[in-house]
Amino acid sequence: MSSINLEALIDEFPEEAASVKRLAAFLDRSEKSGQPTKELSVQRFFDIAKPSSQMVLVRMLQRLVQQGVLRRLVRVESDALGGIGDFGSVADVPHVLFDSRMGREIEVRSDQLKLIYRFEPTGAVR
Amino acid sequence: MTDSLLARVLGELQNKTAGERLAFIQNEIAKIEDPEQRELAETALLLGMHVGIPERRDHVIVLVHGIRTYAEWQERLAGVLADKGYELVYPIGYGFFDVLSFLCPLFTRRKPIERVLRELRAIKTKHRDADISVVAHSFGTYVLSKILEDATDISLHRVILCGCIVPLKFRWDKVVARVKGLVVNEVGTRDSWPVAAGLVTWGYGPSGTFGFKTTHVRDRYHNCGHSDFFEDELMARYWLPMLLDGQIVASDWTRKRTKASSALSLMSWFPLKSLLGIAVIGWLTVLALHRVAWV
Repeated sequence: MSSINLEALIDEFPEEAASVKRLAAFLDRSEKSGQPTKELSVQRFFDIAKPSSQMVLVRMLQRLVQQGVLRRLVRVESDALGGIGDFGSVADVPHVLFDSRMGREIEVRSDQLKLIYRFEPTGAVR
Repeated sequence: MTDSLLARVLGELQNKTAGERLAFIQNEIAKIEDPEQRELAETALLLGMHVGIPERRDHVIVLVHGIRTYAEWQERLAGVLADKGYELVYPIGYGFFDVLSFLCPLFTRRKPIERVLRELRAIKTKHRDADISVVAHSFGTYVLSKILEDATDISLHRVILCGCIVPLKFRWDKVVARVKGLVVNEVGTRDSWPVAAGLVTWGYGPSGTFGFKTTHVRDRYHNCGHSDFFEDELMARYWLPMLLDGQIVASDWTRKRTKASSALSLMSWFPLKSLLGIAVIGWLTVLALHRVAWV
């Protein structure tokens, strides 16, 4: 069983019990493999949980952030792969950013934005 | 952000040049004043950009009212839902249903049930592939329980009951398979009407005051009376997440509530109608015996 208990999420989203269980099973497997998941993109969450709708996943993730299980950040990814800046929200993302991987300033495009959720070490819901 | 709004923004995004898109997203998100809603919208948008515009399945929301009312709350809730992009909302009425018709256990209750059932079947025909959810109040909850019991062609998506007068012993286990999602019973702990209805006539019960307490229905308690559920804030806080995404937002009162008042408890088990029934039968018997003696 993963150290992150998602039972409270099932209580709040009973129709999504299967999605939450898929997510819990994924976290459990990654923990048992000795390489616990530290962060996941919102797209990866979607692929793993297979929720009944995009909006319900959005609401579930928001609840996990409010409960302190996850921390949400908007990452700008370089065209040369890898993150070049983490921000609290899309509003905080500058239009021009220094790309340390390419060694020059770039104009940030929307397709370079990636929403990341980081698992907080003290945020397990009991 | 609803699916329709998300679809619109994602659609418009396609028409922007790569250089314009970030500013467009920032502008669209900045228009949302509430920080929580803004965060939801931003997450939905970033998810949608990666996995595509969500496919929309039609979701019809049907509102069924109680007695002695034309239920202005129906139009208000319809408006709140329309603001969120949900246009398929049908307030259903059965005219002004008076107290005597409500109290009479025979004949009079049939017409509203048939009327609502006809409406539901018409909606089902009109929106063949849509999910149908129902919000019912007071006598509307009784009507819905009878429809679920008898009309096996009716399947629902989600159900919200408030001011519920359905008997506590209602067999949810027999009907719950035809409700795909959740059944939530909004309980008003200061609501004496469900208790009074069960006290004076047959067929009703105090589920809106005490809750069903069954695994098939989620009771959510509120410190309110029979018609206090229709505050905009309550509808937005509890009903929208439930209707739109199946989220059960917990109410603080569910845990904090105090013991039910002695008067309500007494009313809930006092066998008034049975005593009245016995008295009437006794009176008729005495009358008949006197008549025989006189003859």
